[in-house]
Amino acid sequence: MKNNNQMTKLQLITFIIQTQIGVAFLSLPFDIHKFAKGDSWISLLITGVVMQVLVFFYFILSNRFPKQDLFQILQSLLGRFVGKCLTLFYFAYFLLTGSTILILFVYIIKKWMLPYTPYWVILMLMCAVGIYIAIENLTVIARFYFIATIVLLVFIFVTPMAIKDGNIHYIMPIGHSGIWKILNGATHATLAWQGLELFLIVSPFVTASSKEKLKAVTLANILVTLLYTFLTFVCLIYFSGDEIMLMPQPVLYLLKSFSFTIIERPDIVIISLWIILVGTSFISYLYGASLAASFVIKKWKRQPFVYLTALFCFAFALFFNGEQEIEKLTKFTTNIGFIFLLAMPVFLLLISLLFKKQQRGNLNAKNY
Amino acid sequence: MKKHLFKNEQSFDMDESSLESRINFLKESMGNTEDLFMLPISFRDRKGTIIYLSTIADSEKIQEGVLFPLIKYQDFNLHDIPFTAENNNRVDLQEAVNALLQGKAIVSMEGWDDIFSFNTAKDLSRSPNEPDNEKTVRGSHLGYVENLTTNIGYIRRGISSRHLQIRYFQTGQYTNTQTAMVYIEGIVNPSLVEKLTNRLQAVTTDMTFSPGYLEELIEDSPLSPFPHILYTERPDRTIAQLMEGRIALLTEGSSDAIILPVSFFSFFQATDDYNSRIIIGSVFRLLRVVSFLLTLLLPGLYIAIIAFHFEIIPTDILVVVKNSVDNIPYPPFIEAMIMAFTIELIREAGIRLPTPIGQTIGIVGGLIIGDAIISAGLVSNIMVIVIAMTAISSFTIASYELSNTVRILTFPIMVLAASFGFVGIIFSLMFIVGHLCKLESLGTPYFSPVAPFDVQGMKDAILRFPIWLLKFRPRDLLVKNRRRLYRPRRWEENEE
Repeated sequence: MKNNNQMTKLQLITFIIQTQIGVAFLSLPFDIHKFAKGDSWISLLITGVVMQVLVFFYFILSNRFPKQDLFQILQSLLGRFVGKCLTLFYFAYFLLTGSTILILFVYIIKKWMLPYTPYWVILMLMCAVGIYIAIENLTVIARFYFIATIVLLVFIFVTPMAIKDGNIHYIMPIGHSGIWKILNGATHATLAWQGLELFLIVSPFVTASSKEKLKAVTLANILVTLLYTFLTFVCLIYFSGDEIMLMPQPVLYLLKSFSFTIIERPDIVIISLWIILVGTSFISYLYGASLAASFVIKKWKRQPFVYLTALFCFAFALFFNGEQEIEKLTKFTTNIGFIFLLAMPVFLLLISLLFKKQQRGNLNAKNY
Repeated sequence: MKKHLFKNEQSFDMDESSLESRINFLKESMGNTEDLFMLPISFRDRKGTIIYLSTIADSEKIQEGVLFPLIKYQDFNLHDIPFTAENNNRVDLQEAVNALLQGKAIVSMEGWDDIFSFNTAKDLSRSPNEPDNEKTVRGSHLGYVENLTTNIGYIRRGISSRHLQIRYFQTGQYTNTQTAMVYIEGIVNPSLVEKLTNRLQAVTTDMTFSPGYLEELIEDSPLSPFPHILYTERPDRTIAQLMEGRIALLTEGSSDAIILPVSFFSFFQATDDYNSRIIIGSVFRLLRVVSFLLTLLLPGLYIAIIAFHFEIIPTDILVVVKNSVDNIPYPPFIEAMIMAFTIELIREAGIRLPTPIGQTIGIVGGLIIGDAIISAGLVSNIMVIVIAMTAISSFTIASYELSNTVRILTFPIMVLAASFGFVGIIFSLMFIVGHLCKLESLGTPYFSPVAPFDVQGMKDAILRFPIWLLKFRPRDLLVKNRRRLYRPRRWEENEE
């Protein structure tokens, strides 16, 4: 019988893209502009390059453990107890990211589209969709993500229209912010790349050689980097530096200023489509968290943990939704993300290389 | 092991050799039904009987095929008589009962251990018509009839190949309905055949009278609103599907064939697409896909725009809409519900009534109610346009099942659109697409070739590519032989 829990390399590309592009997407130019001003796009390119280096690290690590997912790698490298503890940390991290996504999502939706709808109702809708899809196996999730990628095409086709009204002098002279500010901006952009760590979780389920996997993830990373850089670039030349300071979601303001013959306010349509992008990121983290949890508590299948995780994210999002809390939370998640996105895999790789540990075959990634 | 549903299954003690006891046994087994006829005969001074059910056996066939040869060839051995009735073979008593039920005539002789059965079943089928549900402009106008043998005959005539395989199943323990599974060996994935065989063998019911009754028992997720099984009354459509590597099921007494596994896009393919020119066929296919989306989303979009996002439509149109909506006493959602409900009523009434009255209903419903409801100020005229558009576009979908599904799905979308505007529509779309990704038809992905993506399959999904480009069969079926054609236009190179 064929394995029910597999994805193709094409699906791997869309999986990574969809997981990475989420809430941070709309406010990215604003967030980076705080640090790097007119050179924000350079910051994003730098982050992209750093992430590419990280992709290589991921690749080497997953190549040493071709049939194991992240949690099993943890266990093989650090022993049963420490491995499980770290898996729990990962679980907490996925929960935190999932909740952050929910909170930012509802915050923007309430601000732009549904100011009178109760907070918890929008949350519940998102959790329901999340559970509905995350409860399925990876194949179904990957299929869904593939279709969701169509949404990105809309962004790619609509935003270039702003270029003709842009003023290139806003970003001139290139590099005026200075190298340190640009680098500072680059470190703050990592939230937008969060999701790459899920490669280590899905990697054993991809039906492709490890080289093809590397190509796929590289391609995904390039696409995401270019998309981010492009969007930020457009925003930077469209709005002056002072204007961007006032706009937390510059991409939406950009779209709001267009109007077509049939659609007067494209931003409303676009923000509706953006919900799908957020949904896919949320589903990924639900999947990751439930997988981590079912790895620690082997007695249960993955499905009950999806419900639990979603419930927890729901409850968390219900209580932390003040404007200042959101800012703090975003900062906190970005910092924590550093550990789990960058530090942990590199640390694992080092251990694996130092102690020459590789997969010993018996503990393979299971299908849920 | 199948569990038997008969409560009072009797067994008889019998003396197999005596004619009397045999007849008694058959009589008893048939419950002394009054259409059981017995025709006493004599052959070389031996007494014998021809037994048959007069309601389904053809007495003329019995006379010409069984009785005349018996009289004519009195000096032959019984085994050597050239009976003209087909399919004469020897059976035991238990089999004789089944043979009787199939319209066969049983011949039993005194002093002979063998019982003969002859296929003398009455031809109860009607003459074939063009199917009403799947009309085409060009191509074959042949439709299935209610006779299994005839229907399979149509398929056999279409595919004259030794690879065409037919497997029979008995389903329904009282009705003993013959069900035939038809597939092409060498193309179809053998594991699909095995899977379907297992599912069919597990069916233990008192009756099956149509493939639709079987459908629920053998499909993957019966509670899904989307059809996973393609109904067709057209032999040519069946043949095309078989050639793609799918399996057809036909049952005795039903003029439908069901095709499985199917993908979502099979429901958009009409036979006419392939009979018309490439561009025209593609445009019409695209039209159907667009009309599917229109049916699904139009009422929801209208409600969302009026109730939540009126700022997205340009001011000029806004004025028109506002004039129309202003005097309506209730929110657009209620309006839409009234109209959509009315349309569903008219449709259902139109189907159940005889055709002439059905048309009257259409006129009364469409023209009179539509006009009156606007002038009474209950529903705005734009809403009438929206709902009427929705209804019409739902009827362009090539499958009756899918078009119903879509119209029903419109209602939850309307509810969500009325509660959350575009956000609600997007969420309902996510649910629907997620559901489509989950579905499987006989273990093959339902939403293929879109997800999982398959370039070859896409050529025949939303557009119809030129036939010479449809080189391979769809990948999701995991067929044994994917290649469909080999450079059919290579003559171009020679004609210079």
